[in-house]
Amino acid sequence: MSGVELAVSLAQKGCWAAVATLGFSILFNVPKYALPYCALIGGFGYALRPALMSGGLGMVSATLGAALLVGVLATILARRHEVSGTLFAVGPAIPLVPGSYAYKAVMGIVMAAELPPERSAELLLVAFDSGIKAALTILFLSFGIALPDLLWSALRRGD
Amino acid sequence: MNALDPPVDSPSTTSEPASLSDMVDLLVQTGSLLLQHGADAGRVESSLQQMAPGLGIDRIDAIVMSKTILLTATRRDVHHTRVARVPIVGVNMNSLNEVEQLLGLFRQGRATPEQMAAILDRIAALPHHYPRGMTVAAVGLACAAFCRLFGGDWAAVAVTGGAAAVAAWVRMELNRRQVNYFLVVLITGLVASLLAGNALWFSQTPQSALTAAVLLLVPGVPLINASVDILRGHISAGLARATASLVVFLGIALGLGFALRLFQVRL
Repeated sequence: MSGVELAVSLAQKGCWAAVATLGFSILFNVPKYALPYCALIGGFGYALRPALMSGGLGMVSATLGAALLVGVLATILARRHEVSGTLFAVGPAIPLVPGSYAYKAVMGIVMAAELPPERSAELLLVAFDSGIKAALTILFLSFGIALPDLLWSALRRGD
Repeated sequence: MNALDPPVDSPSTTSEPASLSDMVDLLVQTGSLLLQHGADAGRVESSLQQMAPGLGIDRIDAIVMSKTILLTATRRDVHHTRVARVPIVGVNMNSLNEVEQLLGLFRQGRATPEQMAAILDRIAALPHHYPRGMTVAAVGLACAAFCRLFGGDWAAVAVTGGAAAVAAWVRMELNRRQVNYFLVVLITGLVASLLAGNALWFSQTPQSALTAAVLLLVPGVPLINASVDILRGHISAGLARATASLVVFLGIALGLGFALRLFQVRL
């Protein structure tokens, strides 16, 4: 894929992710003034993941990068508005949650339970693979989002 | 005031309410409001700890579980304990934000405990910023966007949006009737995937519609809270949330699996 094509595809992904972030932020009753910021952060955060993956990173480390971006932007905005960072971070985090991996893992296990052992091996392998990816992605996602705020508080306490 | 609670001379206790039990009630009220609207265990505990000086309490020991707060407040040689069950209402960032602002005022001494209790009651009764119809439409739009991200064509996007919006409304109604959470997931997942399966008639990519329409059920905030809890050392609260999330995924998989069999679609 050429650079231009990649940029266009990333921009499209970012726009759709911004729409998804906006929807979930409304569900979570985020105050109106924060909605545009949430959508922007969600779009950039989600687009960064495929960008990093096209640079050769795996899904888990690319999610960490995207989560760090979300965390940094949310922390900056939170300081400016004197609110907690989660206000700007929760909506944008949702599109990064590997929901389809997680239910593929559970569905693989449920389907394997119905099969004789010689036919279940391949299913279980796929389920295990999806499950590991889902669990680690979620762990790194929350870590990446929380880290900027923790670091900032530690730095300020040092002053 | 009872006999065990003699008048004190410390300057920080001038505005304290009559008894330790009232203070514990105020702490539990604050903690419950945070926990039931989607705060993680560490955030609830640190918020409660920050209230101790303002209440003239020497020591607060709080254990925050996924749906329970255990709290002991100690003032000199008197202590008072409460166990509170916390009904989980759902993520509400506005309530969390309001409670946090109120805690800030209280720490600066700009609100008395009595004022704080009254304001907490008002926060608990605040209506949502967005009407129900708008929330339902927003969830539909979000899942439609996911469908596009999964490479669905426009027909699949439209079907997904409709299916997810109906499912969001069904979930709201079931939650209002306080149906068991696993049943809510099972029924909502079934509704979403049965409706999204109709993409088969209009779209070249029905599997994207089926995958995206159930995404409204993914317990994103509980999952992130679970791993935040575990990373901060609140292992039991984190494991409880993680287990509940796993059960939710089981419900999604069962509903979606049924629809996949029915429509003969492979993911």
